[in-house]
Amino acid sequence: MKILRQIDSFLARIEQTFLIVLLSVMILLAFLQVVLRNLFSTSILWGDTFLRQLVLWVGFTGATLATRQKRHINIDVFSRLLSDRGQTIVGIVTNLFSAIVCIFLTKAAIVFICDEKSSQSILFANIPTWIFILIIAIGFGLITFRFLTIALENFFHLVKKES
Amino acid sequence: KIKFATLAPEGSTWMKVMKEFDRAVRKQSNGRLGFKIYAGGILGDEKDVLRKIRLGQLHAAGFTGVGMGEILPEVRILDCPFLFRSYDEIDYINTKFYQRFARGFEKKGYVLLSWAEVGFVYVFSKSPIRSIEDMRKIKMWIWEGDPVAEATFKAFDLHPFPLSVIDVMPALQANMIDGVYTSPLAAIALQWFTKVKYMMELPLANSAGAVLISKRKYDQLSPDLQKILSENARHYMAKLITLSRKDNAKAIETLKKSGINIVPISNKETMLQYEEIGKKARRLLAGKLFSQQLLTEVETALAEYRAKHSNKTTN
Amino acid sequence: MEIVFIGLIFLLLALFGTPLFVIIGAIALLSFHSVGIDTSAVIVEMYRISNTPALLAIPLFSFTGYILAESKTPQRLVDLSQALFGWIPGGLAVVALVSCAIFTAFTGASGITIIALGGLLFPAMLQNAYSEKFSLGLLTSCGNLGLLFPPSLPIILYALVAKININTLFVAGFVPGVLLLILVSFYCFYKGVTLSVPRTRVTFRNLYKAIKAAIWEIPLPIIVIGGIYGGLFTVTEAAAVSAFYVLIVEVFIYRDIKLSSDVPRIMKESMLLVGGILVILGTALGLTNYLIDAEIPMKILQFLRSFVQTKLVFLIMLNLFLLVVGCMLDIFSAIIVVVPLITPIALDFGVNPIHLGVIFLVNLGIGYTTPPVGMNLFIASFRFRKSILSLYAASLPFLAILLVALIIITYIPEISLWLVNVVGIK
Ligand code: NA
Ligand code: NA
Repeated sequence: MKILRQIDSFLARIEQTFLIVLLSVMILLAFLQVVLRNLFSTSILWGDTFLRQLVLWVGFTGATLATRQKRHINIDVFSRLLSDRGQTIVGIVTNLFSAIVCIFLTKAAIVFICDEKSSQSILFANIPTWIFILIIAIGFGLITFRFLTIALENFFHLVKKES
Repeated sequence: KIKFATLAPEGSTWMKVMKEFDRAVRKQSNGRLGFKIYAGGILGDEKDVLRKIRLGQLHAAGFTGVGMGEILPEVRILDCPFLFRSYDEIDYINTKFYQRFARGFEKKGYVLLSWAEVGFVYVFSKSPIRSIEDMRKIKMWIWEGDPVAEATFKAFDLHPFPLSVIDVMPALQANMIDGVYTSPLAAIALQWFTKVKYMMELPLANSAGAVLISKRKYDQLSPDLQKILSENARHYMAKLITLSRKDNAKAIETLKKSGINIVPISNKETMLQYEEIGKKARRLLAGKLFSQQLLTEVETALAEYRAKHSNKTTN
Repeated sequence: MEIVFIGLIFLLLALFGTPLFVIIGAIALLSFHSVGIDTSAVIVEMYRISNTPALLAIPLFSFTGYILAESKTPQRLVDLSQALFGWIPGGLAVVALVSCAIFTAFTGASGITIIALGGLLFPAMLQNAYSEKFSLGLLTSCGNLGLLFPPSLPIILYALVAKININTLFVAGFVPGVLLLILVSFYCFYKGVTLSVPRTRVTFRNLYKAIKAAIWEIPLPIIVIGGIYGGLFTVTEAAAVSAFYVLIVEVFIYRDIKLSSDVPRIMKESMLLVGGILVILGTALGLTNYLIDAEIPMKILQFLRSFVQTKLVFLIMLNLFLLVVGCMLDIFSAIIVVVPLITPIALDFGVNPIHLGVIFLVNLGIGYTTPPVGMNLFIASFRFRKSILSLYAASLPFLAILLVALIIITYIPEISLWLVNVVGIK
């Protein structure tokens, strides 16, 4: 569990740095585009396309961090009515279920990426489209890992309580 | 059932002919074959539709050059600027090169059921374009990620603004752009004509189209169904091309009536300049989308055709 | 039988706190799997998000909103609006209402309004002694009113799909839009009085002090709203300019926020929001793709058509149907899928196409905040860090007002058509 937690916080640090770099690039590039368009009547041809891809990258990185902080949107009505033990068990079930669903989403993303790769589709400037879609597989992969970690945490919490 | 996607909206000529096509196929196959049509681009743009065809959610679709080019880039030669001067020339080249492109599509896993057509694409602008210099002053829209349009405007030496189709209307309103290119019919359907004043008489290019079905689905059909499908596709798409040419001619009249000024080419010299730009754009694309050899073949075929029909008037 | 069983399990999992995107994703995956289509269809649809025109506005406005909320801007703006409108009961609430409506008119998506303005207005309203429940409800429900005002993108799209004149629909939406604003404003006045929100007298000194304090923030709405109305910027450009401007102003001029410590933290916080929304939106689009593929909306309509006989019953059924659609589909898909289907039926029953457009847009807007699955409730839940249940409760009074307005607008076509006839455009 300790190693898992270390990996988790190590990944989180990388993700955070990555997020901050991407968002800074996004803000600067978006502003540069406005300046170029309005003051110099020109623009970076691939700029807007690239910016929209960045949104996906920033979004999925944010989503894995949101999983880590248990900040995903949910309708939690019942679990607050349960005892501490009940909540822990429910935590194991819901997080395991979430991990399983996210494994299938990751798998679906990988299938899509492989297909896109074989289609040789180009997004702009000779960069193939599948490179940009990678983030969906990476994102769901990391989210799966996070749900598993939380489920395990709950499990150990339960074992410790019982003994 | 063949699941078919098109960008054409419900109620358009496209959809009317598509439904006739569907009825004919159902009748001749005694209900063994028919279409399930998803209109109005509801399943996505052409790239999305291609993805869905590859994963088997869809089987067939009507494509423009953008989608066809994703499968077989060399087919984009048909969309090149200032290549065709009349519908006769388009029909001649489309027939002459049909087998070649059909083989190309087949290698990539698609069956070319028939050509379709968007038609001649014109430049619409807020100020009149009477010369190449006027053109260079236009803040021209460009469809995001279309290499043919990129080469065209590069040949003009003008710097276009890439936007998705939905964003064009607000951008015209905001004067972020003051020129667009599209078919007369689309200029009306998308209401872009309300934001511009002029239309160039000389078409920028012809926008090609085709109906493709995945080879996987086609091969599942028994030979008699394949025959019914192919024959009806050719018949109804030919009908569609005729109708859409009429629609576009009518659309130009409507545009004139609603106050759009048609700007003709003032002299022979300007015309030659435009043709030079067309050639330049095609050279830029040769070796990228299509081979130099194919370009030469098409240009030679056109030159021969023009020499033969030079005494005939073109429309 | 099997479907009911799986449905119950999913419902139970959802009610025990499974993230919603997981539930929606699971349904989408299973649906495609059950009809033998590869589940990567869900991801294909998710990736289509990267083609959404105003997509970039979401992270940029989120960041702007978080920066403003974390600086002392809310205090300065409350002071300013107090100095200007403090004498009106419920003054700040009406200011919030109108700003949300205008903002949605530009973005075409009331979710973005909650992200961009919510973080700023929510603390401001709390400081001004409005109750949490009222403030949440107002900020979550009222962005939708802007869908009816130009240059709202949904109006443009509706007009394109239904083949009616865009300007006519802009004019037609105006009176119903104002009616909605007035009804909600009355509620704001009422709340301002009953919550005994303190009122202040307008004095020149106070006004001067407030303007001087907020002098760098006052240009922001002018840049955004003036820039877009004046035809200088598109929505995305306005988002880019505000993000950049706010960063400079709050970090280097007001120095409310530290570049090295605060900015990275705020960046991360704001992108958690974007991520949370993106995965729900993505899986929901995946599910939408299945619904369209299986022609579910078309089937519901056929069912409706089979037993509806009169115009009145049709309108009632239409409202119910559109509320459900507004919950399930995003507004653009809803327009593209449903408008071509209902237009001919509505014409059969003698409904004016312009009036139909107004009904449609009001309905879809309300659908966004209708429990249990209205998208804006989720976005607000994330943005304000409140449970989804407290948002259900908060939005109910507003929902009631909006439904009353919807009934009035639906059954009195003159409200939508009067101005069109006066102006005389067709
Ligand atoms: Na696009
Ligand atoms: Na601009």
